[in-house]
Amino acid sequence: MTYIIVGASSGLGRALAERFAAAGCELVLLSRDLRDTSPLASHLAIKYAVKVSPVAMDLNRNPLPFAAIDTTLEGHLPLKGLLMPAGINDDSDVVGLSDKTLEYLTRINYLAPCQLLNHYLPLLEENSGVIVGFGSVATARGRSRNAAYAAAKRALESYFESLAHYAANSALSCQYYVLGYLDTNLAFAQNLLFPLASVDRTADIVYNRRFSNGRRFLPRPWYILYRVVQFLPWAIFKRLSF
Amino acid sequence: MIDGLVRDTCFTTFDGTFSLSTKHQRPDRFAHLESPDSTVHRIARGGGYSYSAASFGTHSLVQEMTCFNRFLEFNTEKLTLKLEAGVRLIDLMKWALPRQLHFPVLPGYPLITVGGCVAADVHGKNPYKDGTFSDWVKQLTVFHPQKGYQSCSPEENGTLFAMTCGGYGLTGVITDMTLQLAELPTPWIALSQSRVSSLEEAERELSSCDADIAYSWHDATAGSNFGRGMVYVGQWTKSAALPKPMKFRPMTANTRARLPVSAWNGLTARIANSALLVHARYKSNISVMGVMDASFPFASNVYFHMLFGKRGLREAQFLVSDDKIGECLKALHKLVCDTRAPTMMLSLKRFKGVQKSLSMSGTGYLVAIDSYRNAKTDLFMHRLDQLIVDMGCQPNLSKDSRIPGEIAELSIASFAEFKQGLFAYDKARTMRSELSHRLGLS
Repeated sequence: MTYIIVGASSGLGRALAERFAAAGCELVLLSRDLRDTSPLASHLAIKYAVKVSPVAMDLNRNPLPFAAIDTTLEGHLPLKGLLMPAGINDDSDVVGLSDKTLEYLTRINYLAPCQLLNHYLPLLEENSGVIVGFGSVATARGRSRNAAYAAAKRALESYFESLAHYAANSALSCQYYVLGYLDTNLAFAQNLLFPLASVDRTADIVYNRRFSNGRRFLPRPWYILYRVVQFLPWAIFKRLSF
Repeated sequence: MIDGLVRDTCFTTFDGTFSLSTKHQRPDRFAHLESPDSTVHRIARGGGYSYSAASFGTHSLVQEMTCFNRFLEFNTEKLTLKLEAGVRLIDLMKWALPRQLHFPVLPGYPLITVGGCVAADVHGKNPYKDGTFSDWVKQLTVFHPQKGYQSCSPEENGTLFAMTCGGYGLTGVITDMTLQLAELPTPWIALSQSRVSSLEEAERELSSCDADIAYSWHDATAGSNFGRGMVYVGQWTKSAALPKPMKFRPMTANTRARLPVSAWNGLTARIANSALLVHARYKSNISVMGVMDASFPFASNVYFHMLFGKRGLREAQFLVSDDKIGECLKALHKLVCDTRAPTMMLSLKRFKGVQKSLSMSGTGYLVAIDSYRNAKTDLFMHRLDQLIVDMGCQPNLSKDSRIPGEIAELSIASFAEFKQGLFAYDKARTMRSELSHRLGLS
């Protein structure tokens, strides 16, 4: 069976590629820069003897170039899953950000994943497949920083809720992970309050739960913090700077 | 510079004697590697196991290459493997062994990256038979911020290739390489040990030995016990079962230095050395072990290094020619006794090769000596420098975090040629580290 991994060049996407390849799955890896996914495809093919195809795709393009992915999929086993650990944030993402940045963040964090999902939904329904989305604990409550990013990820979460409702009586599996701090390059340069979770461990959980449904926090303790932030009285929340 | 992807990190040499804080980037894609302005001084870093500060320096951006750790191409006929510079030796061996392959030149710790092995042109357990790491490198890709990606090999762009092997990252960031692998005779090594009462006896045993692994270990504490030790000789052997996976506790420069004080002193060093010799007397003379355990002896035995504590250790490694080895060992013995040096352990290996760039290679004997640190250490190391120059020895720059530039210049045959070549290749000396600064190469 074949899985598409969006944003496979680094971080959680790369860890998912390694985990699914280790289990013998064929993969189509999407990323902006083929220089990153081509070596990964070679690596997985050499290490696990599986078929892996890299495809260049910039999520900021509209319309998305589905033809290249569809052509690549023709040479693979039937499509079984779509995993979308892709997203981007920006230091200038505060309320009042430029139209260009707003559009860019919305496209990559919300519109492009939804378009990919919509495009492959019929095929995945037919194959009793799985769709996995990834959000962020930044969506717990809107704040001055990461304004557009959090809004886009909250919109994506809502779309996945709709997908879950749509697929409730079908064989399609649908999961949405709300991610806390992961040990990726984005966290590398930041002084964070809480420990970073291993991307390999996270990828392992996603693989093992691939045919389940529902929303889940990773790492699990972030659920408590998420709820605490949601229910903080406004008088306290407005004073916080994070 | 890409904002948010660079942090300040305090780096420490593996011997624990030198630390500094500088900018640190861990690129995980090519765009990140290329993102700093091309004029920014920088240096590549692998696993961070060098005893000298070869992978960090003041006002130099450290580009840690550990995310560039992918296998790129395997040629089943030639047994060559193209891989990225951040691949660790343990990952290379874990991939190779089930395919009945191995890589013959393995330094003692499994988390060292192949990029670091090329940069320091490291050696394995029998450099007399296997040469140094660069002897098994077929091709390299080097990224220099002002020159872009350059492919080099002994046949193509040979000068760059020669300067990069043992060039301590000063020609650019090694991004990938092609290694020549060898067929694995068996996954087992039979390691035999024999007691020797002196360095000279060990030298005689090693000189007449044609084994796959050959080295010696000696008590180096000042006094009558100096030189007694063991000669280890390993050969491939057959066994019915497959070796158990190697177990080890990962150690870094920081975890090595967790102990606030050094446990090693004159008394404990003597007790530990005597205990090892007594233990060896009651142990079987031949032990059969997996190739990983035989190749990475320090992986499962971290205590020797950890007990040096936060204060760290001093190590010196140098290569002595065959005709000077007897005289040199006598002079070393005298030096240790005269200075009452805090030396602990000494090791010998035979070497064969050709010296190039800043690497330690040639024909003769490698002498490695470890000391705990006290008031006498620096005097001993200073006088050892003089001995190295007087005897025409070559120092190993990756194992000594304080060797002065003038000693390196006097003792490394191709130092002047390397310096001239580097200055012509990169007039701005973009790649910089504390080591390059100390050697006058920045």
